[in-house]
Amino acid sequence: MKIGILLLTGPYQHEGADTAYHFTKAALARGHEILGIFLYTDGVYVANRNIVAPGHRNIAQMFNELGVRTKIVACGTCAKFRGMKQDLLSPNLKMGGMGALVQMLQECDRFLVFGGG
Amino acid sequence: MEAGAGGAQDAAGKENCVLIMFRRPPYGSVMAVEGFRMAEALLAFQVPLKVVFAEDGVLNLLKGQGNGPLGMGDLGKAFAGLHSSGLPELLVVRDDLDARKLSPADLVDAPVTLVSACHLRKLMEESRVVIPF
Repeated sequence: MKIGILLLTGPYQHEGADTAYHFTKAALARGHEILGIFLYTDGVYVANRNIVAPGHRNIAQMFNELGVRTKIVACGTCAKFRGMKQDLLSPNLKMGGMGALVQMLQECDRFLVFGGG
Repeated sequence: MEAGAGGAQDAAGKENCVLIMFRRPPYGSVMAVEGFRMAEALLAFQVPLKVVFAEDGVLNLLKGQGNGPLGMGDLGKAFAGLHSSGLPELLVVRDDLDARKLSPADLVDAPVTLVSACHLRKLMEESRVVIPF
């Protein structure tokens, strides 16, 4: 199954980012295709390569590792509003526009939203 | 595909349509404005789209939103403008409007269609993708 994912929440405040991460890993392990993860609103913060979490899981590193196996795109406008510049991004993640989300919406069999309303 | 219109059905019998559902009020969080931005973008990309306002989300459509001191735009006017971007109608859950002692006359000047909570469930079941804000 082709799955698209939208993440609407940042790291640590809520568990949406953790759930999206674990869901993606589990889906890949079961042979599903993750078309991509689109980071929207505060979700773009999981792309911040400068996150340091002594003694705890590092969500930025987790997503960076995931970025090797699936496309992860941070909404450029959301990033701009939050001062997240390209050089702050983890190396395996990209900045992109709504076109990336639209492509995912059009190609997926299922679309999941984490951290929304 | 025509923007804003319902699409054909997919293999699972779902309408090939994205439903953006607004459940949060304006200004208290970024969710309503980000949902608006997404709706605007999907229309620009000609994605078949429906937009529904439920629960406190109906407050996004109140006319006369005065927000100058906050430095934020009038979300009501912005949502009304989606019609000119190709969205045929703004769906509003009648029960949630009633619960807040509001009527369609309190809402912005835009093509509003009232739907029942029951119809909302049907919309969610029929849509291929539902995105809550």
